[in-house]
Amino acid sequence: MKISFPHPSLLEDWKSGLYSTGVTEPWTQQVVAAILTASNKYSVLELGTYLGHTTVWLADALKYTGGKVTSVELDPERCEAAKERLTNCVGGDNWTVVQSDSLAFLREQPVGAYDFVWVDDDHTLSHVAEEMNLLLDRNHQIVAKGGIVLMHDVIGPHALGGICKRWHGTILDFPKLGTDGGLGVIQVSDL
Amino acid sequence: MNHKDAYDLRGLFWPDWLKEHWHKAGGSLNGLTEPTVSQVLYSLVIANKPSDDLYHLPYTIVETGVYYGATACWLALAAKEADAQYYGFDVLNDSVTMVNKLFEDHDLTSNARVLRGSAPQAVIDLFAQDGEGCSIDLLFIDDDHSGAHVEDEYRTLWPLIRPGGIMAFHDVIGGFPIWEVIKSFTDDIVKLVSQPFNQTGQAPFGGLGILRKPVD
Repeated sequence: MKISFPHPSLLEDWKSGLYSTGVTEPWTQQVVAAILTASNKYSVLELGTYLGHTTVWLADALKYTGGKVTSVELDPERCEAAKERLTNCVGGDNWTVVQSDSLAFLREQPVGAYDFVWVDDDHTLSHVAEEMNLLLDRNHQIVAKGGIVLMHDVIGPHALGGICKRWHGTILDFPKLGTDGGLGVIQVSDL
Repeated sequence: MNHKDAYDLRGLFWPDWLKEHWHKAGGSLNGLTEPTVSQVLYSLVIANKPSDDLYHLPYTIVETGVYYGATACWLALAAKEADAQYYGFDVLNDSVTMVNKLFEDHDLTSNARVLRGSAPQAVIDLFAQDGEGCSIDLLFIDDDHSGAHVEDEYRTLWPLIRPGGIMAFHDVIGGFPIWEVIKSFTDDIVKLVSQPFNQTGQAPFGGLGILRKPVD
């Protein structure tokens, strides 16, 4: 099957096997970017930059709409590597990589700060559950009304699908590169 | 931003010939599917293909209501990339002829064809020919938008969707009862409010509903 990549360097990483180290599957990245393009969202948050591959997809999709992606990563070295990747692949000024613990970062965010969130960092249940609480708690909802939260790896041993379902999300099951995969889609009420 | 510029997607997903066809046919204002929505369907076809070692049936894409072929061509392109078969259905001879000609012109006939017929019965008839065990991997519903017809298509064609397959609906936003009909059957559905609908305020309807058949 032909797999699309927004930049040749991502294709090179695919050929070298780098995607098998935990990078989101390229077909899932393509769906995420397509949903972003179709859903009219401009303020994007990524939790878990890792190597910046999905960040490139998000920033590339936002080039046209004028939106911006903020990506949060705990590891300083990964942050620097992602910044270099984004500079080379996307350029421009529609992305920011923040070195921070994602929970600490979320606790600083105002209500309605983001309308599109991609969750793909620490996969422990307690961590993801707390992230979702911070993002979607009606008393301080960081995700704007009508917003979308997409979760990676909702199918597999980490059992994140239960959290997705708890927030009334829909699970799409795509082929996996590792033990976990799939895409959770949570839609925030616009009421 | 004018209406035409709003659809200037990246060439990666929207070939120039298809972009030109879409604009010539009148775009969303003439009822054609928004390219952003077609792009989501395209990416779902690519992503939702099961692993070859788990699935030995033909990978099959079906669309009801081809019209000008705006989405049919995207799905046909995806079918070509995913080694799938696309079948489109329309009751209008002109649509069938025009879209099959587009497939011929762009080397898509090995993976795609449009048939004349009224869904859901025409779809049932096709699968009856292909034998038991055949199933649909992605079905895009975009023909008669009346509530009774949508319900008939849902009830009739849902059994043909393979576990893990996707049934998608156009025009879940706007004056049609599509969203209400589907929501009466399930809450487990994604509703995309498409970009053109919000951004231009000109298109009276649009959006995409995505419903996945559970595996268990």
